Amino acid sequence: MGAFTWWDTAVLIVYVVGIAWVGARFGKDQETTQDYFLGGRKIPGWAIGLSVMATQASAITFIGAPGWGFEGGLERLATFINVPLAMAVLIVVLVPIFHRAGIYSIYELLERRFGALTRSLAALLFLIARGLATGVVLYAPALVLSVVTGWDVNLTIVLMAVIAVSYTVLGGISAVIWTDVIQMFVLWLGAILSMVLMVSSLPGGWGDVFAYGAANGMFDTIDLSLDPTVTYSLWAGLIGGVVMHIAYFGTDQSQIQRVLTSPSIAEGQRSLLIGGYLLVPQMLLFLFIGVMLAAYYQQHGLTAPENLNELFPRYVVNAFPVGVTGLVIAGVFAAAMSSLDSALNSLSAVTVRDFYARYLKPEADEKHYLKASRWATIFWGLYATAFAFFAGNLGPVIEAVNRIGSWFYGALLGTFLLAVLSRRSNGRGAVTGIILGMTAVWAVSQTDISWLYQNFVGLVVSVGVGYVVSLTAPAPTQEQLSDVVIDETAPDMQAILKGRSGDAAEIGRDARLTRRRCIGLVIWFVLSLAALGLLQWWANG
Amino acid sequence: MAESTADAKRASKKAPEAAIPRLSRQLDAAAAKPKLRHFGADRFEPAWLSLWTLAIGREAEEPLAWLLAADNLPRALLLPGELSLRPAENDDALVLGGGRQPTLAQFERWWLWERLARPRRWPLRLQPVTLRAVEFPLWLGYSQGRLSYRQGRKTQLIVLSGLSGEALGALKPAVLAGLRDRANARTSAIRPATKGQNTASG
Repeated sequence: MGAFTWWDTAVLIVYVVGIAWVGARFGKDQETTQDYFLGGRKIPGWAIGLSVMATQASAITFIGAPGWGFEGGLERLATFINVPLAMAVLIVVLVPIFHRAGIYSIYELLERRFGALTRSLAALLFLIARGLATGVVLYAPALVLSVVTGWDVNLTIVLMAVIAVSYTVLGGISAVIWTDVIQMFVLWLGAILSMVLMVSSLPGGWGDVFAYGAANGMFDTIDLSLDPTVTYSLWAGLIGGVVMHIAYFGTDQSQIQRVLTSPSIAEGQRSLLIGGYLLVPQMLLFLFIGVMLAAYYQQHGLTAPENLNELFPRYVVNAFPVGVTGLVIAGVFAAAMSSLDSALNSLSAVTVRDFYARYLKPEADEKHYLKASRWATIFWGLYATAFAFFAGNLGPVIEAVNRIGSWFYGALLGTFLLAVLSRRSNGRGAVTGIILGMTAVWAVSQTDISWLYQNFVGLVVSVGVGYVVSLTAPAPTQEQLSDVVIDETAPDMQAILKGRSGDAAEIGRDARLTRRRCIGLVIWFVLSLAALGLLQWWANG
Repeated sequence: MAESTADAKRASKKAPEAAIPRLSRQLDAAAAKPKLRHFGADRFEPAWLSLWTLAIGREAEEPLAWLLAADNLPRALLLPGELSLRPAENDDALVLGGGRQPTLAQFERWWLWERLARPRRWPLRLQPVTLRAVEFPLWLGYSQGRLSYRQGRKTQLIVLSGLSGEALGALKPAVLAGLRDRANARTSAIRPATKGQNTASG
C-alpha cells in the first residue's frame, strides 16, 4: 500500500491491452451477428444498462463527484435528482419525433423545419459546447496519470490527447457492450472497496461517517430556499437542472446518437430509461464517498489537496492494496477513453455532415469524407487539448462540464421545442431566439444567480422571443411541418385509418408502454426525493 | 435533406409489376397482439410494404446486412444477417407500395452516414449487384387515441415490424403514403383494389 508500484503499472498495462483485445475479438465475431449492427439486442438489459452508464462520463463521475461531495456533501445531488423527470419528458416528447424523422444528426430536423441557418447555428453551438466539455473529459484521466506518475499535468494532458485522438482516428478502442460492463464493474468495485477500506480505518466505522456528515450538514440534500442565488436549492435543480438534462440527453448529438442509431423507438427509449433509473443512485454513491473522505481526512488529521479532483485518485493510490490500485486506475482510464472516443466521433460526424458535406463538398466520395472526418477528429482533439489546460481552474470536473453545458443548453433546447411544439414558429424566430437566448444566459451568468437557472432562462427567452419574432414572418409551409406534424391527423387520412380500423381485428386495450415507462420514472423521482428527505430529517435530529 | 438533389435527378423507375418476393414473417398474430397492445392499439391487421434492398458486406456473395429503403424515406433501415425470402402468396394481408427505387448514390450516402456514426463499419461496402425489391412484413395497429376538445377522437397508426416486433416509426410516413395511394386508386377506379389483391406502387 501507499504508492503506485510496478505491479500496479503491470496490472494497468495488462488491463488496457486486455480491454482492447476483448473489444477487437468480440468486434470481429460480431460482424456476423445482429449485435454488431444493432448494438446488443440479445444482450441482457442489465449489461446494456451498465454500458449506457459507462458512456455517460463515468470517469468524470469517478474523479469529480467525490471531490464535489467532500466540499458540499449530498446537497449537490439537487443537480441530478431531476434526471428521471428529464428522461420522462424526452421519452414522451422528443424521442418519437427524432426517430420518426429518420435523421442521422438531430440538427437536420432544424433545417427541415426552420432552414439551413438554424441548423448550422445549433450545430455550431453543439460543437463549441461539446468541444469544451471534451477538454474537461480529457483533463480527468490526465490528472489521474499525473497523480500516479508525479508528472506535470500539462504533460499528461498532451499525452492523453495523443492517445485519445490516435485510437479514435484508427476506429475506436472498442464499441463492445461487454467491455463497458467490465469497466463499470471495475469502477464500482473501486468505489465499494474504498468505502470498506475507509470505514475499517475509522474507529467508529459507519457511525463516524454518519455522525460527521450529520454534524456538518452534509446530508442536507433538500434546500427549499426560493433565493435564486442559492446554487443547489431543490428549485434550482427542478427548474434549471431538468432543462439542463433534457437538453443534454436530447439535443446533444454525442448523447442522442445512441437513440438515433437504435433500431426502434422503444429501443431508443430503453437506453434513456436505464439512465433515468441508474444515474441518481450512481451519483449518490460517489457523492457519499466524498462525505466519507471528509470524515476520513478529519479523523486522520490529513490536509486535502488544493485541487479536489485529485482527492479520490490520491486516496486510491495511497490506500488500495497493490494490484487493485492498478486495476481501478486502469478502469478510470478505459472509461475516460470510451467517453473521449464517443465525444470525438460525434464532433467529427457533425462537422462533416452538418458543415463540410453541407456547404463545402456536397458531392464528394466516401473516401474523401472518411479523410475529412479524420482531420476533423484531429482538429477537435487539438481544440479539447487547448481547453483541457484550463480545466483545472474550473473546480470539480463534474460541475465544470455541467456549467459549460449550461451556457448553451437552454437556447438549444428552446429551439427544438419551438420546432416540435409550435406550428407557427419559423426560421426567423428560431435564429433570433437562439441569439437572444444566449445573450440572456450571458447576462444571467454575470449575476450571482445559480448557474443551474441559466438553462431555464435560455429556454424561456429562446422560446418566447422565437415565437413572438416568428409572428413577423410567414407561417411555415406544410412541408416544413411534416417532421413534427403527424400525417395521420389530416382529415382524409383519418377517414382512411378509421375505415381500416373498422375492418381490422380487435385486440383490446392495455396501458401504453410509453406512458407506463414515464410513470415509473416519476415514481422513481418521488421515491428518491423521499429517501433523501428522510436522510436529511434523520441527520437534523 | 442532403439527398434531395439526388432525388430530383433520380430516374422514375417503379417497382416491377411481377410478384415481389417477401421476407418471411417472424411474428405471428398471437405474438404481435400483446406488443401492439403495449403501444395502445385496440385493433390490428397484417400488411406488406414494398421496399428496395441492397446488401452490405466485403463481398456480394457474403452479405452481412441489408439496407432497406425507398426514395421517399429519409433514412434506410438496417437489417443484419441473411434475407429469408419466399415467393409472394395471396394472403389476406394489406399490400402497400413503399415508394420508388432509390438511386445507388442515395444508398451510398445513407450508408456513409451510418458509418460516420459508427466507424467500425468502415470496411463494409454496398454491393450494387444485389439491389432488389422485397416486401417487408408489418403489423399495423390502430388506436382510437385520446378525445381531443377541438378535433374529436383521432385514430392513430402503430407500425410494428413483422420480423422483430419493434415499433418502426420511421416507416410510418411510407405506410400512410401507401394507404393514401391505395385509397386514391380505389376512388378513381383506375386500378380497383380489394383487400389482399392490391400490388405495390414501387
